[in-house]
Amino acid sequence: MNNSNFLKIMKLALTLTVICVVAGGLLALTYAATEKQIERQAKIEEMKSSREALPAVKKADGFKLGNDLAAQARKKHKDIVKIYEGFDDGRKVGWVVQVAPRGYGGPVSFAVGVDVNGKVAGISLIENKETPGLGQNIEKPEFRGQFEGKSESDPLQVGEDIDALTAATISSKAMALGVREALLALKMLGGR
Amino acid sequence: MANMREVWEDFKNGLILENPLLRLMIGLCSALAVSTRVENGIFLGIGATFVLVCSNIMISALRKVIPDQVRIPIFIVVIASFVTIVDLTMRAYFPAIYARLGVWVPLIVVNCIVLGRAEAFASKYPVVRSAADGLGMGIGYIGLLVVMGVIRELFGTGKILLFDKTVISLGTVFQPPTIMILFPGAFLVFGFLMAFLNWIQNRG
Repeated sequence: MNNSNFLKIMKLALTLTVICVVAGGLLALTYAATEKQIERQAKIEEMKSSREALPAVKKADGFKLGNDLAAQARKKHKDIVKIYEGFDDGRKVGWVVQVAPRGYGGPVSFAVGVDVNGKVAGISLIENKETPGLGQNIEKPEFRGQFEGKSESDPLQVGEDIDALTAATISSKAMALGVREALLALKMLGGR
Repeated sequence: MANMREVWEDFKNGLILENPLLRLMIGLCSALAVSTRVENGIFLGIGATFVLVCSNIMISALRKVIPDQVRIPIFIVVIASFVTIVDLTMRAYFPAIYARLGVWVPLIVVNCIVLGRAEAFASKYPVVRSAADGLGMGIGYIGLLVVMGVIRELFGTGKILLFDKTVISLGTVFQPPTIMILFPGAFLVFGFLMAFLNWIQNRG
C-alpha cells in the first residue's frame, strides 16, 4: 500500500470517528436529560394501572413489589411479569399481578387486581399491539368487566363463561389466559 | 446565499409535486401502518419532520467534509442520532402517544424519506435550501398521513378521536367496515388517493 492511499483511508476513518463521537456525546446528553422523566412516567403509569386494577388501595404508596413472588410464580406460569401486594392503612387488601400473555400482535400486558378472597377486583391494560378497533376492544369495560368477581375455581375460558369479542378471538383468549395464570399463580404461592 | 424564490420552490416541491408518499413513493411502510388514527399520523409526522429537517441541515452543513466513500454510514449516524433524540423526548413527555406509536418512532431511522432526501438533496445543496426541502417533504408526509388517517379512522371506527375527544361521529346507524383500519384498507385508501391525484394532474 503506498503512502497516499494510506492517508486517504486514514482520513475516511478519522472523519467517521469524529462524527460518531460527536453524535454519541449528543445522545448521552439527551439520555441524561430525559432519563429521570422517563422513569417517573413509567412509575406513574404503573401506579395508575395498579390502582385501577385494585381500587381498594387508596394511596399510591400502598403497593409493595414482591420480587421473589413473581420469580417463583414464573417457574410455572411464564406470563407473570410482576406481583405487587396491595395495602390500605397497613392492612392487606389484595394483589396486583402484571401479566403479558401472547395476543394477536405480540404480548398483551395488563394488570389483574385480586382481592383477599381471591376474586378478580379489576383489570387494567398497560400495553398491547392488538389490532385497533378489533383486538384493542379488550380494554372496553364491557369485555374486561366479565372477569370481575371471578375466582380460580371458575373455568375462565372463552366460550364457557367468557364471551369473546367479535373478530378478536385471539385477543380475547389472551386476556382470559392472563387472568387464569394470575389467579393460579396466587393460589400456588398460597396467597389466599 | 440562496435566494427566496429557490427556497420557496424547494419547500413547495414536497407538498404535492414530489410528495414523498404519493409521488416518490418512499416511506410507505410507516404511513400505511400508522394511518389507522389521525392522532398517530400527526405525531409520527411531526417526529419524522423534525428528524428530516435536522438531518438535512446537519448533512448539508457537513457536505464538504463528508468523504464520498463513507457518506452513507455518516448519514445514518446523523439520522439515527436525531431519531433517538425524538424517541427519548417523546417517551419522556408524551408517554401515551409513544405507547401507541410504539416501534414506528425508532423506525424513522429507516424511513426512506429521510435517507432519500439526505442523499438526493442535502448532500448537494446549501443549508437553507436543504432545510426548506426537509420541511416541505415533512409537511407533505404529515398531510397525507392526516388525509389517510381521517378516511380510515372515520370509516373504520365511525368516529374521529383527537386527544380523547370525539371530533366527528357518523352516529350509531353507520356500521363501520373494519377492513378500513386493517392493512388491506390502507392499501385501498392509498391506491385511490394516488389515482385521484393522477386524475387531477392529467386533467391539466
